[in-house]
Amino acid sequence: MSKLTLLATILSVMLLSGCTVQSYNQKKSNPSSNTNMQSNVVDIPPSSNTQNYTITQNKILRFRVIGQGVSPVNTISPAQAIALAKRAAIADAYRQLGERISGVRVEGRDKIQNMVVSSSSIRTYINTLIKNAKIVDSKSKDGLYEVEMEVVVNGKDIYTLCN
Amino acid sequence: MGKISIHFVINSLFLLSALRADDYYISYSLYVKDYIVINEKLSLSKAMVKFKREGKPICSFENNSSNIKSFFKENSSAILECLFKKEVLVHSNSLYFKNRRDRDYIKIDIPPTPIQVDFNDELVIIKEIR
Repeated sequence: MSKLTLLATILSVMLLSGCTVQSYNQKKSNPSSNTNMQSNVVDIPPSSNTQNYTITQNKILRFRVIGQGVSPVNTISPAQAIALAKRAAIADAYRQLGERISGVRVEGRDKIQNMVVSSSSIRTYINTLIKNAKIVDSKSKDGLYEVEMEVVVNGKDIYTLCN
Repeated sequence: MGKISIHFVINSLFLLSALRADDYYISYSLYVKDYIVINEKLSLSKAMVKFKREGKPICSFENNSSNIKSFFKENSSAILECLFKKEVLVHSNSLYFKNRRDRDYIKIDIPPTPIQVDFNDELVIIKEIR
């Protein structure tokens, strides 16, 4: 009888521990916390409108842009042309990041003479500081250099910037 | 006695290597017009007053030169890419005339940044001062 009790106790302990391990494993493999982290990251790909995304303070925004640069004609070597095209592409990528994150100031001028529009011009300005942007990918083809750049911004920072 | 002399040599070597870390200010400007680079300027000047703080390493390069000028000449692109990661000021203006982009200027600046350049044998470490 005592042997049976002992066996039953051991079995119950094993079962219980098995359950505990299983639940621990389930907890370990349960990616709910990861999903929460990933669902907090909003990926904003190039040529997409930022207004399509819901931006809240506790979200992390990853802006991606593609900058383009052209090789100058009067260079001493093709290598120099590629290097300069890359610089131009980096500058364009930074400009695009600035456009998306801090916005653009737009100024329009129309000149009307004798009830007819004689000239019309629009100027856009960007003045911004970009921190921790990194180049993700770069490629060159037919004198055109393309640089893909991304920057991660806290929703909180965007929120304070917008308000 | 032997041990003491070894310690002395190690300490003096360490001090010498620390002394070789020089303080500089670096700045950079790049002008782009219609997607073509028209001018760029990289300035490096030695700090007149030594920095009080020790810098935080931001990038390292394998290099044989011990001269700062030749090192910057050889590795300017890599150094710039390293500095671009930190912070960049972007100024841009575009003019659209009759609904097409007529003129397009971009100027990107790295403001004067205090850095320490540490020459260690064949490794050059750039440290940023905060």
